Amino acid sequence: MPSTTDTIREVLNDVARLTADATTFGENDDLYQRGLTSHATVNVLMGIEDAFDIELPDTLLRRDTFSSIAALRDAVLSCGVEETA
Amino acid sequence: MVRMNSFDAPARMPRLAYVYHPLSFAPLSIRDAAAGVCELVWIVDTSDPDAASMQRLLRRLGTVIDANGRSVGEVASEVRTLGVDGVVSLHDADLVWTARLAEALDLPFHSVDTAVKLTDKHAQRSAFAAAGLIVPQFRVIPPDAEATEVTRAGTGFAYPAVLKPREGQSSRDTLPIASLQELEATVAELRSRQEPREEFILESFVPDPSSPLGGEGFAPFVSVESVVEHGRVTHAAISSRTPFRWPFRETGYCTPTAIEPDLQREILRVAGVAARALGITIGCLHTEIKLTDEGPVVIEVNGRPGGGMSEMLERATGGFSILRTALRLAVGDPVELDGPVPTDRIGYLLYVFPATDVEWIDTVDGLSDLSAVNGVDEIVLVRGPGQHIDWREGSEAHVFHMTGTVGDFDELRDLIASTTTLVHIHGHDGDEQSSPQLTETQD
Repeated sequence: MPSTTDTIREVLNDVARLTADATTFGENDDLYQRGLTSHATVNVLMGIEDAFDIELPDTLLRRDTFSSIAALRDAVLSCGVEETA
Repeated sequence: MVRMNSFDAPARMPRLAYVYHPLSFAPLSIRDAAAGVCELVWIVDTSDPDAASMQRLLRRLGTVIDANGRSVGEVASEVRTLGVDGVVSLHDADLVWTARLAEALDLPFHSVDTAVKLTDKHAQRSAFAAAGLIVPQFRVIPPDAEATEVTRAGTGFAYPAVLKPREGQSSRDTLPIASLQELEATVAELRSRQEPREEFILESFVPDPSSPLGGEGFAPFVSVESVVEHGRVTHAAISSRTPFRWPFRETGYCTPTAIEPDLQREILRVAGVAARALGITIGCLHTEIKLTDEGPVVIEVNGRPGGGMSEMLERATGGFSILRTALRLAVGDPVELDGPVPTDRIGYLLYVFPATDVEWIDTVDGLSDLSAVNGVDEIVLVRGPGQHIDWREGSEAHVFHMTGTVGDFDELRDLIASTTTLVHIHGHDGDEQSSPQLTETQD
């Protein structure tokens, strides 16, 4: 079973249209500096929700939530998803 | 499924029909600006795949009406059932359609005639000339113009000139023209890669001033953000512009401006005359003005806030949002702006480009170092390694942009210098796979 972080990296590679392979990014790397656009942010939102079968609350629908892999993991975990290593 | 979403708008909040376009403000920015102002009814043309992909999010932020394949009247009928209090579009290409929708709904927006003048450079310049504003000589080159017609349009013209699409933005395909021969060759080249063909405007180049009227280190060019409410024009801000990249690509804005106060007053006066010349009675405007020895010359008025201006102004003023203001105007919430909004800091938005001959980006190094510099709030990579870039796309084709605030203009100049001393952009021309030339950032 892939870890939470690995799943997030897979989603980023699938839908975020980043400029490099997300598996090479550090967890705190700024995704906007890696080519994440406002439009692609919505794709990431949908991809994350589908992958974890959650719906992020409106309070998390803000720019910061998508700024790094670590921020996305925090958002996913705050929705009650259990972390897998 | 774990459900934690709740979108419960207050029952008596005004309702705004927002004509959404994916190239304009982002949905979450609109949602934030609408908080406490209005409920959103999104009108989306799902024939655009980028707009269609947003539907799932937009439904969470309000009601969605699909305009795909429907007439204005059909959309208006559906909007009417929702008891909408206002209608707005903040995207140039949608202004005329939205004006028709507003007319059908009998809601305040630009009239159709004004919306045409806001998006058609020829109609706009004619209106300026009729209002007595300084207007460069201009001629239209129709899409079906044969070579002889292009020659006729360019004969006897006052060169140097500028060739630009009749309807376009961000300096796309905006080119300097030094002579009739260059005009003929340039139009032929543009036609060879255009399908369908576009209509172009040829206009005389507005000469640079003999002294740095824009301030040391800034272009002789400014932008004005204006607010029009019940026909009364007031101005929220003047922004200075950093020097353009060849040929006419915008490299950045900052507000407040470095311009001396008397000239600022004249700039605002001229911006007001331009707004009235177009018959604008409501909405937020972004007016571009060149500073010359003969006085400020209006280059164009846009019927919406400038791209990136809202966040920049919000940072500089400590909270004034031009986007929020546009939504408030649309639902009839009194704004009553009383002149330029006081600023705490200098807000800026900078675009950074590769060398002009770069067609493919290979590497972009140093963004982390740049982000650590004081005054940098955000850096967004737009064209990264492996991506194509073409200077003809205008200002949209930049490698990255950055925003933030600084305390004074010296700090801003240092920051601008850091974009080339700390960041190194390499790229090449030609085919995607080959890399025959590595090119540094500067031209």
